[in-house]
Amino acid sequence: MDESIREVSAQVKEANATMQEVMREIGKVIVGQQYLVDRLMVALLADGHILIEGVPGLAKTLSVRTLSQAVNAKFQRIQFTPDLLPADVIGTLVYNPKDGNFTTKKGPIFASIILADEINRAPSKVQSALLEAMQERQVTIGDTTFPLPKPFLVLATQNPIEQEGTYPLPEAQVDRFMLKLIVTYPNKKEEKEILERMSGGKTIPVNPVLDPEKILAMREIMHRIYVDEKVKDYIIDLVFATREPEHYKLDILKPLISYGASPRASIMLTLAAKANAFLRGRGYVTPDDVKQIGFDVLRHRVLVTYEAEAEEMTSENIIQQVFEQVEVP
Amino acid sequence: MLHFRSLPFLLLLGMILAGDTYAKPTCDVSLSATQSEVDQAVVMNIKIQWPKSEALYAFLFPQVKMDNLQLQTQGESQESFLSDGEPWVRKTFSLTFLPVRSGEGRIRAFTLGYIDPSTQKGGSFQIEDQLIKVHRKRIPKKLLNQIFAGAGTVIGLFVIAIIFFMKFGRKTDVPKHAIDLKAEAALAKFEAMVEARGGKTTKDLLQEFSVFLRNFVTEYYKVDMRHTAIPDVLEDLKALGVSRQEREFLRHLFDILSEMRFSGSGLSDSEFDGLQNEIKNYVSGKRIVQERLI
Repeated sequence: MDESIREVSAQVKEANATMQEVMREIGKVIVGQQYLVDRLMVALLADGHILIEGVPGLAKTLSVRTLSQAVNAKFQRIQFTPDLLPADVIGTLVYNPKDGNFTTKKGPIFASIILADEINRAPSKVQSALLEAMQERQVTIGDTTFPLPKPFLVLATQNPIEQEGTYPLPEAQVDRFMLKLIVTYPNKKEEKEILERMSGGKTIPVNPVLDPEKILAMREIMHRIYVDEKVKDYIIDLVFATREPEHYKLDILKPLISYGASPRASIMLTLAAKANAFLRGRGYVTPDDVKQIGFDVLRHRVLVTYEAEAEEMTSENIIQQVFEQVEVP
Repeated sequence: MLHFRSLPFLLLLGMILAGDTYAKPTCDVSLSATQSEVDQAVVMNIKIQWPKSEALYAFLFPQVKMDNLQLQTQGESQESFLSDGEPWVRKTFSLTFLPVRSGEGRIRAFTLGYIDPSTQKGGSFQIEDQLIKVHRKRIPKKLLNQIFAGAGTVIGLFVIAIIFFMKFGRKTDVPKHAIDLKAEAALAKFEAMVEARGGKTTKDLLQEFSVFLRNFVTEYYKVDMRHTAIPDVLEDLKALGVSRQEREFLRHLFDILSEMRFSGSGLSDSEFDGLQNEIKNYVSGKRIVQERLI
C-alpha cells in the first residue's frame, strides 16, 4: 500500500476508535436507531446537514441531544411554527432606548448542533433564512456578518403524517441537505428495552468523549481518505444514470424522472462515502461505501414526474433500479 | 359320655377358645433368588404377622452381617388384613443386597426380637444363614446375538467394498464424490480466466475476480451479491444458515479484494497468487457435496 494511504489508514483507525466510543456513549441512552446514529456521525464528519422524516416519538430529538452531549457541543432546538420569523432563528438588532444604540441579539442558530423541528411548518422566508445560514455558515444581522460555530450541523425534521397547513421545502432547498433519512419504528425487542430504560425515571448520564476541535481534526483526516478512479467513475455513473437513464439501459425510467441529481449530489456522495469509510476504519473508499450511503444521498435529489406519481413510483424505486443496473467496479 | 354342661367339657372348651384367641407372631423369610450375578440385586423379605388384637409389637432389628455382599437398601412396611373375619397385622422387612464378586454370598444368621411395650411380653425369631451363589456378569443373549449379527454385517460389507474397489476403484474417470456441477463449472471458468490473462493488468484481473466471486455467491446461495453491499449479503447468508467460518472467509476475501483494488496500492506477485489460490480453494471446496462413495 502507498505510504501516504497507509499513514491515513493508521490515523483513521486511531480516530475511528474514538468515534466508536462516541457511538457507545450514545448507545447508553438511545436504544436501536443504529442507522440514525450512524448517519449523524457521517454528517458530522462530512460537514453535511440532515433532513429526517419520521413520525413523532422515535427519539430524533433525544438522539441529537445525546450526540451533542457526547461531543461536548452546544445544542439548540428550534420548533418551527407558522408564526415564526427569520429573526427568531438568526437573531436581530435590538434597540436600546437608554443609549440610542442597536445591539445584536444572536438567535438560536448560533449553536454547533441545531434541531430544526418540523421545518415544513414555518413559512418559506424562515426556511430560507435557515437554509442560507446552512449553506454559507454565516449569518448577517444588520450590517454585521457573524460566522457560525464549527462544527455546524443542522438536523431538520419533517412530520410525514400531518401535511395540512405545512409549507413543503422547495426542491432547490432540499438539495442543500447532504442526507435525507427515513426513520422507522423500533422492533419489539428494542421497544421493550426502551420501555425498561425510559420508564425508570432515571437520567442516564452521557460522558463527553470528543470536543469540537477534535471533530475538526478528524475532518482533516477524513478529507485525505483515498478515492480510487474506479470509485469516482462509479459515483459519476450513478448520478448520470439519474439524469440520462437511457445511456445506462434504463430507458424505462426516462419518462419517470423529472430532474436527476445535480453535481452537488456527486460531491455529497463522495464526501459521505469517505465518512462511511472513516467509520469503518478504512483509509480508502470502496463501492460498498457508496452503495451503503447512496440511497440517503440521492433519495431527495431525484424528482419524479406526475406519471411516476400516478404509477406510485417513488424516487426510492428509481434509485433502486439505478443501483441494480449500474455496473459495480 | 361328656355332657355339654359338664365341668371337664367346659374346661376343654375354654382351652380351645383361649388357644384360638392367642397366636404368636409368625415369621417367614424369603430370597428373591438363590443364584445371581455380580451387581445383580437380591432381595430378602422377612414377613411377620400376628392378630391385631394380640398386641402392637415393636421390633428390634439388628445390624445384619454379610459376606461377599453389599447392603444397598433397607426398608419396612406394615399392613392390616382380615383372616377368618379377624384383623391381622403384617410387618415386612425388605433388604436389598448386591453381590460383589463371583462365588458365594452369605447373609449371616441373626436374631430379630419383638416386644409388646404395654405388657413387656415378647419373643424373638432366629433367622438362619442365607446363601446366594454368585456368577460372573454375563452379556445378555439377545445383545450377544445382535453383536454377532452386526459384526457379520460389517465384515461382509468390508469384503464387498474391497472387491468393488479392486474391480472399479483404480479407474480415474469415475467420480468418488457427489459433485456440485455449478461449482465445478465455476471453478473451470475461474481457471480459464486466470489462464487467459493475456495483456490484462492486475487491476483488470482483480475486477474480474471480484465480479466472478460475487456472481458465484449470488448463484450458489441465491442471494443478491451483485447489487447489495457486502455486510448486508453476509447477514442474508447468516439467515440462510451459512457457517460463521465461511462468512468470515468470504468477508476476508472481499476485504482483500477491496484493499487491493481501491486503496491505490500496488500488488506483489505473491499477494496476487495468494488471493488467486484462496478464491480457487473456496470455489473448489464448494464442489464437494458429500464425502461418500457412489
